[in-house]
Amino acid sequence: MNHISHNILEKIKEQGLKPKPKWQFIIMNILLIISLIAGIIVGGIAMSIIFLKIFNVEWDLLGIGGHPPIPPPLRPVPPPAFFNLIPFLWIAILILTFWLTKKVFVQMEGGYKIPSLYIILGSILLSIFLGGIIYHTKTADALEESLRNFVEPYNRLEEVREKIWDMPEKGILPGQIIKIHKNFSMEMRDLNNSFWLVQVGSAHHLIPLREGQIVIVLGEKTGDHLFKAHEIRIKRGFFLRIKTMYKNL
Amino acid sequence: MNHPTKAAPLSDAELVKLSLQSAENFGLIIQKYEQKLLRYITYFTGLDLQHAEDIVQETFLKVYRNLNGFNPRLNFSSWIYRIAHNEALNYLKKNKRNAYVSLENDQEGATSLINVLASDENISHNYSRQELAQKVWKILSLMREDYREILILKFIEDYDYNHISEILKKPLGTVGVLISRAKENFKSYAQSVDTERSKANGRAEADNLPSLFL
Repeated sequence: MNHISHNILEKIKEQGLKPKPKWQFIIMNILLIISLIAGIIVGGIAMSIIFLKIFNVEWDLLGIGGHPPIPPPLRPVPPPAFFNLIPFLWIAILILTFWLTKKVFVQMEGGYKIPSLYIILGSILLSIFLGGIIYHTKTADALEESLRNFVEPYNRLEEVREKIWDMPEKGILPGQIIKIHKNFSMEMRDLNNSFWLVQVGSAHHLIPLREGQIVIVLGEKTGDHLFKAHEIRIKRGFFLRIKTMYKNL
Repeated sequence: MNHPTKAAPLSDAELVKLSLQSAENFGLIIQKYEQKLLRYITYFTGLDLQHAEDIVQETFLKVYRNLNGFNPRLNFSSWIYRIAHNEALNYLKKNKRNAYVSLENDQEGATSLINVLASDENISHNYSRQELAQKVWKILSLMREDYREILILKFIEDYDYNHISEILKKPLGTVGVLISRAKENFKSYAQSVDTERSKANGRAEADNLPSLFL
């Protein structure tokens, strides 16, 4: 036995070293699997909220795609407003989950054999699939609403995004329908908690209006807190905080 | 102590099993791998023998503590080299050492890499075996760590792609690409070493020129 063997065996004896028990490795493997699943789920959630925020932006009002709105699109689009519409926070979370998933996957048995590019592509496809399901089942809306209610900094961040659309002077009035009157008018509350009387008349809207709905009214301001609607759109995923606000009234 | 019979050499999996029964048996694993690991660590890190031995010791202690984590379906030698690789990198990171000890007299270790040099037509062949060995170690000392390590695993340790893939935890394709790039890098360093030598020889000859040129 040479000196290296001797030293090592001596050290093992002196320090009373023992092999770590098998259960520690089993738990580590289970933790890795849990982290991987958690990463995939968080990735799916992040993707669904990105869908919610991207698919429900009134891009045509900014002159980007869609049918020509009434009134004409806002031009020029203020750059800060445009950048505020991109959900950077969720995109960052999504990228982080891809990176973490890759890191965890490589640590798993045989995981290193799969090239990183394939792991990341797989994560992207999986999060699109999962995110699509979460978005279509409207679970994304509920998640967003919970986040808005329980995480105040997140709510403040999102309010900045919503305020972009609060432009009654330019013909855009977002808010919640409080009461529908029989004379083709309705009461609305805007994002600043102010009441508006909106003349609906023959305004274009795709589905029947009902109280409590979150809408975006396109038209013109006719007086102090008076608005004439040309088009009313039902909003999804953009003014959820209002819903909560009025629940408490 | 359970002494295995000398007639039938024990497999690594059996040695692991025996080591789990008694620490004394772990000596068999140490004896089997210590020289290989010492050589690998010395070549890879360029550290002197004493420091390389420290890393090897730490490697074996880590191996012992993690014996239960070894998956018998995998290759034990790849697993132990992987641990040695991590220990070496940790040591280099902690100590920020770049000094590469000269191994210029080690012709045996350099043989396969000498053949890589010999196969290149662009590289001067006016070298003795001893000079080529010196050149190999000089080039290795200049190379990036990852390139140096993969060349050592492939050409000095003589591991196949699967083993290297297991040791470095990289996909087979990446291993192939890395080996090819490392070889290119090795050859380009060889050429610059050649050029340096020619210049040095040129300067030496110029120094010896008769005064009529001055």
